[in-house]
Parts: sequence; structure tokens; C-alpha cells
Amino acid sequence: MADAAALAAWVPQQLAAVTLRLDDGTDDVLAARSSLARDVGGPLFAAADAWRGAAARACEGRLLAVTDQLATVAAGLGDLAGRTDAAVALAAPVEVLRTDLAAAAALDRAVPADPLGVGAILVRLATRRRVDDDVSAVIAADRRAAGGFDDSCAAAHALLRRWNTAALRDLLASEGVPPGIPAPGSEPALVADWWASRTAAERAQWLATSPAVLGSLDGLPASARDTANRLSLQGFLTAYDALRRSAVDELWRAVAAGDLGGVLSCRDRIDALDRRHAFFVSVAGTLADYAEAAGGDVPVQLLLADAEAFGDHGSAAVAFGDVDTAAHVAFVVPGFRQRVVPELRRAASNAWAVRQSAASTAPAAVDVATVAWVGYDVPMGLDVAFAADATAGAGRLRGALRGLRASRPGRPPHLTVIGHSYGSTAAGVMLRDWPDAGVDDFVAIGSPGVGVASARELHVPPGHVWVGAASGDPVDGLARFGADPATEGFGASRFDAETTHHAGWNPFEEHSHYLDAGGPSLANIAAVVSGRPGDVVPAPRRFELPALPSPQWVDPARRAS
Amino acid sequence: MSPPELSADFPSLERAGAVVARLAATVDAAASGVLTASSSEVETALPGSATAEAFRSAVRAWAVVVHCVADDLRVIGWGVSATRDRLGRDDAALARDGRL
Repeated sequence: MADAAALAAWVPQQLAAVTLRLDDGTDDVLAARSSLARDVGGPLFAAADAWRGAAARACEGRLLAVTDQLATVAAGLGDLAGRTDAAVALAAPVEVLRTDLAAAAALDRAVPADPLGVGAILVRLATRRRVDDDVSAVIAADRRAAGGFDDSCAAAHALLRRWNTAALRDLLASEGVPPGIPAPGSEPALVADWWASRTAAERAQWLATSPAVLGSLDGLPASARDTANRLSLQGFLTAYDALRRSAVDELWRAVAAGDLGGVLSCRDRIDALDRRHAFFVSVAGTLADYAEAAGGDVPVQLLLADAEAFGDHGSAAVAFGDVDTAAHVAFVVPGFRQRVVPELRRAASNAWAVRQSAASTAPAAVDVATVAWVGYDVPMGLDVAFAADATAGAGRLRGALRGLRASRPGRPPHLTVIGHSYGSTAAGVMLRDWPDAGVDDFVAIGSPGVGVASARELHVPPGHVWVGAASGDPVDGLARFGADPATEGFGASRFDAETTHHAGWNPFEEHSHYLDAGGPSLANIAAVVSGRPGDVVPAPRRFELPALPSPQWVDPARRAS
Repeated sequence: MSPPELSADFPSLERAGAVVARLAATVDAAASGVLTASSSEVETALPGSATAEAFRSAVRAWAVVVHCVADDLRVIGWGVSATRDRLGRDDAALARDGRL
């Protein structure tokens, strides 16, 4: 806990003077801009005897560019002044803390009539608790104000990325950012700045020498991650035979020498190589399948290919469309038993279906990218009944989304997260715990619960939490993790997600067809992803689960009656 | 040298070069003022706070941005001055040749 007395000594009102100083700086920049147009541009280029010719045109172009830059700088400084002015609001919680702290001190100084009495103790405890609450309030307000300045700093970095990367590099160096690759898990905005401040030759060198590190670094552009991960993939597949032969030779030598420890060690090495081989074969096969399906029209990007994650089960993410530029980006988070080996193709087929549907059903061409994100340790057994995997996955998903935003400063896409089954739980926990996730739309399909009792707790704009729940799907009504999101009280927008797959002997059949081509569920999800919420066909009420084992499909056309 | 280029008014170019140089200095001074004064004032108002730390980084970044723009202005000022000198020399030569 921070020192309450130190916080109470803050004087946020003094920030008003700083605001004035920043306003003066803004005015100076604006005055310089006006003078540039009036005293330079006018006499040189607008007068009757204007300067003409090639040199004049070049000079005029530079002057216009720098005039625009001055306007941008003035806007940035003005924004900084506004944030500084807003930070004066810290004064309110600091004042409350100061008052309560004074009351607590007065109580400590006073000699109660009954020093050992319960009443005096309770009063002291209540005062102490109030002070603790006050300290929390001051710290929260401090963090909010700091967040505003972080945004301002990021805006300045974004300008330097465009105008002068050498200056950005010097700035980062002066801030203590190392020139080498940022450590895994580094702040995505920092990673984005580091990459932007490298020369093309340096980037090529890093990609060639450290593809495995760069491929997992949140904050790097998708194109760079794609290059890095494909280099890792090719590197491993090329070296695999030789590595395995060497390990097998060593194994036989250990056998001949009667070295049991060596035998076990070699066997573990061979097993690990085989697991990684299976991982990369699965990834390479998926990439090849969709390169063929895309036919060169849709970029296929390998955003993540970490063979060693989760005890060599691996994590991967494959994107369809250009994540660096797409206007709409959707992450599809899979659920139970959908590990990279052998299920990456299935996860990819779902993301592909959403992308194709979103791009083709809109009235005009829509620039959509979807990501099959198998970036968390999906449950494979009884762990599906517990939230631990979802909680761990939520952190990883947040990192991926923040990386996406950091890699696209100033031009964030419309962002949708689609969670299927347990994947909806992981995504829901992420939205619940991190209000800064920046997700515009959240779609939960076949969900056993998203970790909350109400859509309001997900920090997504009102009306943008969507739920697909087929009436024959036994999972979506489980409410294992929070309330059932398809119920009225939850507050999500339920859409038509009935399937034509009737459960015969298998009651879970309807759980896996939300993204089938031609179905209403896929069309509705595509409408959300491509920013057309008005085209979503709602499902007005929750259906009772049919009796197992033969649930009947309910014709959506008859439901309204 | 194309004839239109010779239409330049030397005093105008001279004045323009001087104005641009002065503006570069003004913009730079504004940046320096913001940099040197604001951070210490915020640190004094909110010692040890996350706000002061974030503010310091933001102000430093904006100061660098302003410096970059001021540098661009200086380059433009030098370019205008250099053009003025070059035109002056060329015009003198042309005048000697009787073509101006």
C-alpha cells in the first residue's frame, strides 16, 4: 500500500499552471504556422511576381508539408494540455484522503473516555478503512491520468514513425529501450516503436537470425510475423531429418555403451523432435491448403507458430486477409480439444468460413481479415470443467489484441472476437478483466458461460455482445461459467443460430455447426464481423432444450409465431 | 536555367529565408520551454506518481517531434537562401553576357 501521507501531499491544482504553459506552446506553434503562410508562402508563391520554376515548386511542396506538420503538432500539444487539465481532477480524491487522514490523526491524538472500549476501537478501524479506500481511489485516479499521457506519448511516437525514424530511435535509446530485440512479453507499443525505428537492413538481419523470437512478439506488424514464422517453419522442416538421424545415432551409441541415462535423454530428445515435427507439418499443411483455396486473392498470414508452447503442444495463429491493413479484423477462439495437432485445419476452416462469408455477403466489397487463434492451452479433458485454462488463455488473447492495436497506431480496425464453446469463456474472461481490450464486438457461440452474470461486465459497447445458441446444443445452456448468455436477463443480443444438423445418437452434434457454410449462424456472425449489425437476424427468446437423445430442429421461420 | 526561374525577386527570397529561420528558432524554443519547465512542475505537484512519469515521457516525445519539424524548417530556410545565392550568381553572369 502506498504511503497515504505522501499521496495526501500531492498538489494536483498546480497542474493548472502546466496547462497554461502547454497552451502557450501550442499558440507559439500555431503562430509560426500562420507566419509561414502569411510571410513566406504568400510573398513567394501567391504574389504577382511569384517565384516560379522547379526549385520554386519543390520549395512550395516542402513548405506545405511542414505547414501541415505544424498543425498536427499544435493539435498534439493542445491534446496534451487538455489531458493535463483533466488530471487536475486528481485533486478531489487527494482532498478526501487528506481530510480522512486528518480525522484519523485527530482520533489517534485524542484520549477516548474508554480507551479499551469496543466503540473506540470500531471507530478507529472504520477511519483506517476509509483511509485505505481513499488511497485506492487516489491511485486509481493517478493511473487513469497516466493512461491519458501514455496515449499522448504513443501519438507522438506514431508521428515520429512517419516523419523521422532516426529521431524515434534516439528517443527510445534515451528512454533506456535497448537496441536489441525486446524481451518476449514486452509492452506491445514498445515493440512496435522498436520495429518502426529499425532500418530495412536491420529488420532483415533480425528476421534472418531470430525468427522464432520475432514470430511471437506482440506489437510487430503481421507481415513481419508472417515472414518470421515461415522462416522458423522452413528452418525446422529442413533440418528435421538430420537432427533426428543425429539423435538416433546418439541413442544407439548410448545403448552400445550401456548408458541408461543417455538412452533416456536421447529418447526424450527424439520425442520432442517428433512432436515439433507434427506441429510444423500441421501448420505447413494448413498453410498449403488455404494458399490453394485463396488462389492468391486472399493473403494467408502465419501470425504465430510456437512449437514449444504448452509442453510442445504448440500454439499457432493463421490469418486470412491482411491483418496490417484490413478495415475489419476478427479473432476466432476455438474451444475443447482443438489443439494445433491435429485440429489446426478445423480452426482455420472456421476462420476461413467467417472471412469468406463476411467479404462476400456485404453489399460492397469489404476488407476483412480473420484469425484462427489457437494461442492458448485448450482443455483436452476434465480441465474443461474448470476456468484455469480460460483465465490463462485470456491473458494471452489480450496480448495478441494489444499487439494488433500497437502495430496499427492511429488506424485501429473494427475488432471482433468470436469465441466458440470454451473459447467463448476464455474470451469473456479477457473482456471482463481488461476493460482496455479495445474489442468492438464479441460473439459467443455454443457457450457454457463467459465468466460474468451480465453483458455489461464485458466492457464492450452496449448492444455489441452477441450470442449464438442452437436450440439443440446441450453445451450453450450449461451456465458453467457465469450466467447462460442466451437468456433474457444476461443482456446480450441473441441471433438466429439454428443448424440443420439434427442430433441423432450424438447429443453434441449441434455444438459444432455454428460456422457451417449456408447456415444462418455464419451469416449473422459475418454481418457482425463486417460491421453490419443491422443485418443480424435476431432470435427473440431462448428455446427449451429438447429431450435427449433426439432433439428436434426448430424451423426459425416458425419461431416468430 | 529556365527563364521563369529568373523571375525571382531577390529581396523576397532573402526575407523568406530569414523568416523561415526565425520560425524554426521560435518553434524550437517553444519545445524547449515545454520540455524544461513542464516536467519538473508536474513532478513537484505529484512527486512519485505514475502521472508524473507518464507526463515526462509524453513531453519528451512531443519535444522531439517539435524539434524534427523545426529541423525541417531550417532545411527549408537554407534551401531558400542557397537558391537566392545561386540565382544571384547566375543573374550576374547572365547580365555580364547581356542576356538579362
